[in-house]
Amino acid sequence: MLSSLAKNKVSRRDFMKACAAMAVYLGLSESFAPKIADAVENASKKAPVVWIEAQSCTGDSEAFLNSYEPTPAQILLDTISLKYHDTVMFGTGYVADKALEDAIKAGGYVLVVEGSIPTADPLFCTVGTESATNPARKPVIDTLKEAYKNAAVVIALGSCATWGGVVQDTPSKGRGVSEVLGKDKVVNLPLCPCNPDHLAGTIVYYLTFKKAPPLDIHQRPLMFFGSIIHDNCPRRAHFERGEFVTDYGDPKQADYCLYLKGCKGPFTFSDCPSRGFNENVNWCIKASAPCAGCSQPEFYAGFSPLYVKSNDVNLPGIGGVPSETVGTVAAAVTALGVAAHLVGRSVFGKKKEGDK
Amino acid sequence: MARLEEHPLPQRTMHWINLLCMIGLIVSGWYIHSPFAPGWMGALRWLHFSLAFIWILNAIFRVYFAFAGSDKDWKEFAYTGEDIKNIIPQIKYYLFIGPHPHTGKYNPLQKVAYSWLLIVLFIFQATTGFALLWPTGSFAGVVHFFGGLYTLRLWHYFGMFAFIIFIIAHAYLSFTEAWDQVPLMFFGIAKKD
Amino acid sequence: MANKIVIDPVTRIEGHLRIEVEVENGVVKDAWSTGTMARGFEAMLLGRQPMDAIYVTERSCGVCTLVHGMASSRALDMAYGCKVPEAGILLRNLMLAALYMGDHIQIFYNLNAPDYIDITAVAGYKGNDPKLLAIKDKIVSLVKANDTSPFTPTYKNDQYTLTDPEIVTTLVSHYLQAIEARAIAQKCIAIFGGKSPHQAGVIQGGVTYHPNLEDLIKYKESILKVIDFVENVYWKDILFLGAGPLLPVGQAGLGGGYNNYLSGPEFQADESGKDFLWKGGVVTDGNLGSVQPLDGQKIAESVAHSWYDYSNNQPLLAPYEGQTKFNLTKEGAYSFVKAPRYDGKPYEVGPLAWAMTNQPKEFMDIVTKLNIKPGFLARHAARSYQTVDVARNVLKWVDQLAGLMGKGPLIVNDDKPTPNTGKGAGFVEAPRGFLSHWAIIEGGKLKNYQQVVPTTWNGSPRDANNVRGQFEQSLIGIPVPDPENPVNVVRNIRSFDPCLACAIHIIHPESNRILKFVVE
Repeated sequence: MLSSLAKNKVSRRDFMKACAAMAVYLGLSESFAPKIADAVENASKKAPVVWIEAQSCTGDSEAFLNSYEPTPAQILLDTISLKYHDTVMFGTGYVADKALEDAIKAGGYVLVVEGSIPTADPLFCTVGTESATNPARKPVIDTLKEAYKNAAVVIALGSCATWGGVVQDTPSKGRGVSEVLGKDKVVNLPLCPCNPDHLAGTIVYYLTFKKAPPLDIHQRPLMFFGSIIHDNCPRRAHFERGEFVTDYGDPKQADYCLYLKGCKGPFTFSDCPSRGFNENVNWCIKASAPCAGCSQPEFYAGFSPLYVKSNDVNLPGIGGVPSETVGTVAAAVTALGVAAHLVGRSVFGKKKEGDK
Repeated sequence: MARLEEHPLPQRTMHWINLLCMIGLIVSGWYIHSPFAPGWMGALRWLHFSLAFIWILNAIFRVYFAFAGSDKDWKEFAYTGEDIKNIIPQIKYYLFIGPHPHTGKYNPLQKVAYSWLLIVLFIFQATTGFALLWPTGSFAGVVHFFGGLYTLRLWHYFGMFAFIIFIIAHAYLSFTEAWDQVPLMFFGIAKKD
Repeated sequence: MANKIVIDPVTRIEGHLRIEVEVENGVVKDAWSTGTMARGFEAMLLGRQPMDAIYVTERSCGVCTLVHGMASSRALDMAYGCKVPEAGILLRNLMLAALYMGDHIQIFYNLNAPDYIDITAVAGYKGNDPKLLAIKDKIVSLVKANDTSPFTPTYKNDQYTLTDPEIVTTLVSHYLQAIEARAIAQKCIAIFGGKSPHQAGVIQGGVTYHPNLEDLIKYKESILKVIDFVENVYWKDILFLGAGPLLPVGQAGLGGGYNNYLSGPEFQADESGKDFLWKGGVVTDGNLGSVQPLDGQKIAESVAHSWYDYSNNQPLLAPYEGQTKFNLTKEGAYSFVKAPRYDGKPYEVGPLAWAMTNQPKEFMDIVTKLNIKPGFLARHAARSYQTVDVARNVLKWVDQLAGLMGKGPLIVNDDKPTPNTGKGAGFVEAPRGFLSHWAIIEGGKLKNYQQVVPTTWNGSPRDANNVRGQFEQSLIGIPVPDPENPVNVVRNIRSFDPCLACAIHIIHPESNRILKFVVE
């Protein structure tokens, strides 16, 4: 990332300042700046990256192209050597397949996976042909298994690649990298789409320390997914005051809390409130759109419905029932039982100790 | 009317605190779950957390008092061979098909309800509650175990209903089966020896 | 002797596409277009709260982002009975306008232009523009380091490949500028929609966000940079290439196809919902003199050659009659894409269809004067001109919104409760062409949901009558002198701006009922 600065011969002082900023950004002390500078400047060659799209919408690639500091052009020209990327690469057909084959053979690359992996049937997603001489469609899961083996580190990018996201519950049963390919060397960077800062930060961390950053229980970097959105929400004061949006058309409610509109911020770990999207110009909650919880393994099916506050539980044979109903019915059944017992008591009387 | 030493002052006080905490926790918790009127979220969350700590400390003291001091009463809850024999007759009694068996202060079903069941419910509710309050620290594993904060909340919410059900059954049986204990438990009115 | 060529993956498009062509005497004789990935969003949506469709279908595609959320919102506008307030209409227009500009810039420079240039020509740059010299230095150093991914490897050059160092270096510089220009356009969407791709701010009834004047100024500042790129770089490049080095491609009309064109109305002008910047329409068999109004009832889809089953093997089903299940081993099927037909016939959608149905005078004059025939160059020209047209209108909406802001707090949404029953169709003339979403609500939940998207129109396989889709038809006659180098095939396919993630979807497995629906 920073190599563009190094190679563009900006002043040493500015470059070190940028490295210090990056250190803070990665949740490290500023004293790590020289180490980062060293890693970026002395990389003998650009880091090879293989980027494979499975059941994707290309939204994460688009998000990557929205990086602004550094720009995607700087990343592509200076920092990484993008060996394979469906949407960006100039080659096509067998030329593209060959490039992928060569990159996998060479090994030691950062593997970025975008999109979920179909588990209902491999034929739900095929990319390329089996070989130069066999034109049969090649299931992407086979390609991914080969690519996973020789990768130095694997980044599951976006909600689909992490846990299936919106594809989880479809007939194709899309699943994430850690479930299908393996857990070791996997860094999960959920969000729909991913935040390009997270990708850049993870790669710099890897280049600097030659290992993945500290991860949480879901293999997400703690530096990005360590806090709950609700705890850092700019609308939190309205939540505390109990001021909720109930009508999007009411300008008075423009800044109110979105809890009653189905906001999943209280259940969701991410740094969206401070990092935002698109040069931090905005993010979902700031735009009055309820958080969908897209950084969580439960997303999407576990959080549906997204725009309505619901506490439904799925009861076998009945389906979604509001938790209020479940609890109230259970309490009501108890109360009825008590009432029935009271009636029984007066009918049958109370047998005293020793009665026959 | 019950005799004073059946429910000594510390036990009665803790029973009071427990009752008030539970009412406060249920009302505030219900509001947090589905805010029924605007304006109270901050206050009721503060109340919920404060009461939770009082409630838990109170529970710890209650267990301590069961084993220490002049009014220790753990033996009243301990299971004996007699209790096991009495389980079926006691159930029959509640279903009006048998006489009340001869038991100690607490019958075998009460012993389970007041000790083990209540302790398990307490620990469940306190653990899920703490995990909701501090989901990032040492309770992260609890959050994961319950499948995320969303389902954890639901479990905590259902825990509340378990307590509500307990309160309904407990109040009914106290008022019908042990009416003589009620003035003592609530107001310290007891039979003079 | 016929030669079968398989191109898989077709890169630099959205999604996973496979093209097979049969080449005889150096010319494509027959073609098959295969969408190779499916997820199945609609099946998942059934029985869910209707608004989930807005969120989920928005994720149909991350490149043509926004338009699905918009089409879905419009379908629910109708189903919920919402009357979108003026500010809501303007905010939707501003987001869609930004998408148009960013998307089309990216389609041309980042996804299509590499097919026309030999990047190694940069080394021969002799000029003294410092920016272009820096690019030359960079590329030369990458070549020296033997590390030129992702710019190589590629297909070989042919007679249409640009090798003039001056032109190529300029285009490479525009390629890099385009990445940033499209990012600025995406930022413009995010200002009102929260983020982009996958904005979150468009819902039924209007939008969610109440922007302030600062947001509007931010939008205007940013969009001016994009407008500048559109008018002074993109349109000028197209005019230069189209009238200059690539004129023979345009005059040869490579990649024309059926000459059936279809486009929808877009950029709502007022609250009535009847007045639009672009009216759209239907042109059949190249008969430009007769533009018919679009009738949603004439849309139906075939799965004769797709990996789905229809009960009783019905040849065509209207979007509301949806019933399908996956059959991944179906005999004779070769694509996850269905085959939509209008009045039983295949139609092209997208910028060329937009131009042929709206017939903007300035554009028509240029192509007539240069004698450019429908084909992949005409498609690029139409796309560029469409972008210019958006750029010329967007500031008007900015001013209108500012005017509304001056009158007091903005009303951005008509928030209505979820109806127990309802249905609605939402049309969007998206950058890739005509898009429609169809929703049926019963018991407050989605009973059926269906998307008919641009790439389903263009990239469909054969239908029940064995009639080819528009991709396939437009490939017939494309020259492929060297079977190792089918570059013209991908040039043509990419000119449609395919989006396969959108195109592939399935519909309700159970609702066999036929529902009549009239599009207003």
